[in-house]
Amino acid sequence: MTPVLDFRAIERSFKRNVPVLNGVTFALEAGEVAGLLGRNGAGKTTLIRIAIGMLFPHAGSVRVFGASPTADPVGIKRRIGYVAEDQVLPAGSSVAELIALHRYLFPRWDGALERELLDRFALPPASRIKHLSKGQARQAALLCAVCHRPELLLLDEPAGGLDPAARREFLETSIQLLNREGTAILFSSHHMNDVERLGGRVILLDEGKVRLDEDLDRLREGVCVALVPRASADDPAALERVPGCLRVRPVSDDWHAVFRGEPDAVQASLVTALGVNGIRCARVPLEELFIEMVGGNRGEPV
Amino acid sequence: MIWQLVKRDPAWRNALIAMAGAAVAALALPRQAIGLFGWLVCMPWLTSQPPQRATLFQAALPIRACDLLLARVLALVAAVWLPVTFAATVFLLAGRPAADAVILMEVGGGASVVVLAALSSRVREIAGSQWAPAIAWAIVCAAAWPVWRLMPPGAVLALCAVLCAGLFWNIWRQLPPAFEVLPARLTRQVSRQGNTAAPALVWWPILRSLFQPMTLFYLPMVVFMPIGGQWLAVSIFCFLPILASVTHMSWALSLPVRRSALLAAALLPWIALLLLGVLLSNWSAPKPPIRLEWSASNKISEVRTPLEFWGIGKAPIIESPWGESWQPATVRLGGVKIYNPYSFGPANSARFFEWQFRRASEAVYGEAIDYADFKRYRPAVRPLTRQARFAILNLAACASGVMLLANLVFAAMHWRFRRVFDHGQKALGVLLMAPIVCVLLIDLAPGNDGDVGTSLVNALLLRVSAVLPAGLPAVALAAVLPVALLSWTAAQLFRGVELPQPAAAARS
Amino acid sequence: MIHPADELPIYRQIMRQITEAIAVGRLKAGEKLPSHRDLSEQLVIAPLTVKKAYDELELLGFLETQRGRGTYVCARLPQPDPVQQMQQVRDTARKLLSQAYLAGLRYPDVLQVLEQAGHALAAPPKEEEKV
Repeated sequence: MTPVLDFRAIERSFKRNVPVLNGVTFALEAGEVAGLLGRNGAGKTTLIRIAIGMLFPHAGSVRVFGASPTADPVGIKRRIGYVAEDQVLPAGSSVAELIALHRYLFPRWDGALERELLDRFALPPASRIKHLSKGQARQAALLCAVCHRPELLLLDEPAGGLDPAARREFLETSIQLLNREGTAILFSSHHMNDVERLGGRVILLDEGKVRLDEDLDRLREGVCVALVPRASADDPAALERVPGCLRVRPVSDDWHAVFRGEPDAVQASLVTALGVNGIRCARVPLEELFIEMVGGNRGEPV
Repeated sequence: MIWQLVKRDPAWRNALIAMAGAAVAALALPRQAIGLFGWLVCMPWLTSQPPQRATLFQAALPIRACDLLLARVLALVAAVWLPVTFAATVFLLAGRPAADAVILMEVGGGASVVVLAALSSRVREIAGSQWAPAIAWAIVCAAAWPVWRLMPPGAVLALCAVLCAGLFWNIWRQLPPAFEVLPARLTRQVSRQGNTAAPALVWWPILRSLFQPMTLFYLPMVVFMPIGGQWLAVSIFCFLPILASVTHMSWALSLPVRRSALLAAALLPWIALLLLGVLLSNWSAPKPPIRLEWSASNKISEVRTPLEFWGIGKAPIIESPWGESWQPATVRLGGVKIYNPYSFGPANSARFFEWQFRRASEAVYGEAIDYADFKRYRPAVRPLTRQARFAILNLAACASGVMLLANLVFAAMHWRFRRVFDHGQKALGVLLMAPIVCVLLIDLAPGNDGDVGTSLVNALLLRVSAVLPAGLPAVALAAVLPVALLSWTAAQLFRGVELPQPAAAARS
Repeated sequence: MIHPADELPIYRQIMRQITEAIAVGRLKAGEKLPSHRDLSEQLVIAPLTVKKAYDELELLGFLETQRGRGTYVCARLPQPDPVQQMQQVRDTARKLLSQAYLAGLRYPDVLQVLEQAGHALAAPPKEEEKV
């Protein structure tokens, strides 16, 4: 089965010698859901734009439905739905005009889904985009992206700045699409609750590379965070030597270390390695995991 | 504190650059091209959000609205008058007539009226209507020609002063203590059961995103200036609205629409308008190209044809069939020696003069005309440069000029170029400005009577026309080929172009 | 209700809620459960997560899937896993101890409370004494 989206060793920089993406490789199969996580500036938007053909990778290759996005842009874009936080819809157009344009451009347009979503989002069709609130404009964009039943949905922080109710509606629509069409979804988001709900795979980008790429539940259950008092270890290397360590960072009086394994087993191995007590080890929700993996260092050594 | 605000105004910063450009332009441009000077003077204003009275950032600071407005008006007016006064001073220092300097001031006055009129709409908010600058510009441009012809120079300046004062007082009296950021008028409540019928043209949203109201500014320039003969400079400026369309294309590029179709939508309207203007200029009544003139530099009367009919190189001795001879004076124009092959000396007879005139009319009109006939009634012939054959070549040259610029710009925006050159965008600006500066510098050459750049192109086209076979279809084919080739290369380059993304996406 | 930021992954939360519902009696043996799609749209979670929860419960013996007809609660429920029960008891004990220490009691007081509770449970049911 050709993967729907296939990145191989993508490299891209915007300034000389400052790579934003430095060898990113992963593939998305049909019907798969993958969440792209990373700090601001980690390259998530760049990656999604490369997938849709608006940016060109400086090295490596990208394949969408098995072909390069620049080889047959029109044919490939017909099968993709794209919503981005900063994608500016033409302000003077009305919702009806936008829908008519999309209906014309995408042959697989589903009129019943369009009516259902118009109703659910309560979008007045004759009002212009500039007169809609931010949430409504984003919902209009989602409607246009989803109603042609795409095979691949690219969502680039689609819920940024939206209120919780709008975010929930966004999720519902995405899940509905997933259920009905088996659409593959690649989305980037900072709302970890939404990422947990959509499930699937989690891909963490940091410093231009893929740091984590696994199933969300396996990540939640197979990784734990250990809190080690600063006094127990002089430098992070002592902790990094313990097998299974993914990252160590100092936070005021503790070392926060991310390990693979069961909390009890990790705690036992840490106690053996460092010879101290007072180590706490637990599984954490995704938001804490994200912060521990890519967060900055806080606090000076005591 | 107002000075602090003025210093930070983008119009002020651009004004200092515009001063240099305006001085060069004032010296280089002939009288007919005064419109172009006006456009240059308005550039700082155009590029700094014309209808905006204050930025969002300033409106949140504890500064009164009247201070903000004063600072903005001062900055804009300075942005107009600094280049104008600098250019006028340079003008006078270069020994040009004072009447021309007054014309420059009148242009400045007209620009001030436009600037203030653009700020006059919706005074309670931080920015006026987006259409106000375009409408003000259009009105002033349309009124400029008759006003200039009908009123004496001093009166024009006085009229502008009165209008400016009136507009300013109008804005001042409506000023609130603090600006609002939302529309003061309520927008209509639109019902949910609004019309869902398909609009007449499906492509409206894409067209709206490509053509922002600001591009209207270029409309009068692109249509009217070629009529005055300035089609060379306009071919270059014509690319600026095209570039504006291209930078707004980001949303349309994410749709399944062919890139070449979008490019055509951005390019064709402007090229069509430009060609329309050139066509109109070809058919509008030209001044008779052959004049009898007293040439101050040569201290002699001469049969003066446009520059494109002059010869290049050191002047040879011209021998008439019956033995009279004359060596025209050699003029250096920008380092190149040229001579007028139809001049005559004080020692030559009237017969020599008439023979020269017949030669000149044969070159210009394609058939020999006697001077006596020419003086008595204007023969119903068109000069070579106004005939259909030449017009086709002219149109092709304009279109090729625009497409060549398009190729250069797209090459600078191409992803391979940007990978190698970090500052590709700055290179872009230089690339665009270079031809304009070259054209202006050519016209700045000493001994110039104006229109040198156009004459150069005309001369080239005349030589091309002489080489091509006689029939119109052959000329049309030869004309279409370079345009088609350049269009194809532009389309290929555009496939690899990466657009600068909206400012909000400066992060990943 | 599903809490995405809970310690348990979402599929485990679903599993726990289903097993609790079965234990309390809200879900009877042989009752049909909503399909993957319906439950995912209802709870606003991914359908694969629901499927994972159902699959795990099927492995444990609580549910059975009949092809083309849906997922049902098993007629015969499995015996509780002693290891798991022991773990649950340990967790409850820890919670009880923390609650007691917070209230100011000491360990011997807690033992006394436990003894009383043991007596109450061992005694005949007609003596309903609150602990």
